Amino acid sequence: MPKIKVKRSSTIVDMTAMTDVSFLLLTFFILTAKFRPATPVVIDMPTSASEIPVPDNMMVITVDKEGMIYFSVENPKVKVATLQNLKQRYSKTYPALEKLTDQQIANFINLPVYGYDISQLPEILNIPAADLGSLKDFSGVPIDSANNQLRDWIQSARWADRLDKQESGATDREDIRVAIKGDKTTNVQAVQEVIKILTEEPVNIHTFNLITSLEGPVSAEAAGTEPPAK
Amino acid sequence: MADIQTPEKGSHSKHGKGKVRSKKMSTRVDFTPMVDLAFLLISFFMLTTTLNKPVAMELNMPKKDEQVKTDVKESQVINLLLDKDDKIWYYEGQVVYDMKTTNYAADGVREVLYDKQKDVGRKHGNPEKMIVIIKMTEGASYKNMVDILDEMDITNTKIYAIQDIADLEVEAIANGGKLDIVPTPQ
Repeated sequence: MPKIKVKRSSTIVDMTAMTDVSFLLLTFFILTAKFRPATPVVIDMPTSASEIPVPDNMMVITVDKEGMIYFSVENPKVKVATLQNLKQRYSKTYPALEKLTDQQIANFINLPVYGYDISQLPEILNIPAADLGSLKDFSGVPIDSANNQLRDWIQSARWADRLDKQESGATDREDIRVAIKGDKTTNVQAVQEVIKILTEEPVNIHTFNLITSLEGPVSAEAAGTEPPAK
Repeated sequence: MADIQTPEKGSHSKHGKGKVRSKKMSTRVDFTPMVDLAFLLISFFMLTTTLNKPVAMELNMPKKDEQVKTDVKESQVINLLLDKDDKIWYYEGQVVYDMKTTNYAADGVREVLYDKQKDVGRKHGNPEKMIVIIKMTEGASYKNMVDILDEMDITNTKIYAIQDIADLEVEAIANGGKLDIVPTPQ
């Protein structure tokens, strides 16, 4: 009887196809991923069923758990112009603002959120750009009636937006929008305080947005992040 | 590795004399570490990607100087008072002395609003004539406000307003939703 020969098959698995697939996926994820900007303020936003996307050109007024106010402008060009306009407004009260260097002003772009008194600004802008993302000691933008700096920030941002619109020639562009971003547990009175500033003279903004996360099981921002130490 | 190493068949030929053979190098490259790396990176990017993008709600507040007087029937109005601990007090028209409570669940305030819509539809011919007045107490959270505005959107309520809470209402809440004095309608 002839021997039955066991056919020896190669144990080598061709990995090329798998590499192709995995790198295709990798490329896809890298290209579609948009890193969440490192925000020093952790905001766990409430959810809503709204389907309106977040406007592109906006200023964001953030109200954190303790009711502290932060201000930020999305567009970097408008952001710098806002600071320049605000500098003029406050240079009489704080002469130090007049001496802001171009480097300091450029550094302002790297500031993810602004939550300080205006007198602290030159000091904050001396901090190297790399460390700005991890700033912790916020005092919040003052909003009391005697010293309403938030109002001036809003006004400056609107002015800067109009200037940018003229310079870029996009006159039909929609005006800068105001968006309020609050934490779930923020006391509603803090938010109403902001709304009051917006709707009253001289700001007079009656349409604005509330930023919320999409109705879903878990908010990603809430997962495993500690609130900043006060 | 992805292959099992087997001893080379021609290994003994090294020791023999004869021709010097140039060693044949395999052209096969082992891709396994590359796949490992690729999948590691994929996992990293998948885990760090924020899947839920934020959305925006639009809120319109009335202008102060626009004193447009509209004719409002009492039966069109429902007042919602957002209290602490996710509690909602509500009363119809001016019946502030008899408030009821509800919550943010789907069968809570939404049902109340739908019922009122039906009622308004019957009395005034159009359910969209319902007017919701939202008032927030000191203890309410921002989440409550967003939830109730979201509820306006869900129930398709066209007319709603955010107002400051009145003293009488605060008193009624403290009193468990009831007031002894029946206020005279203005």
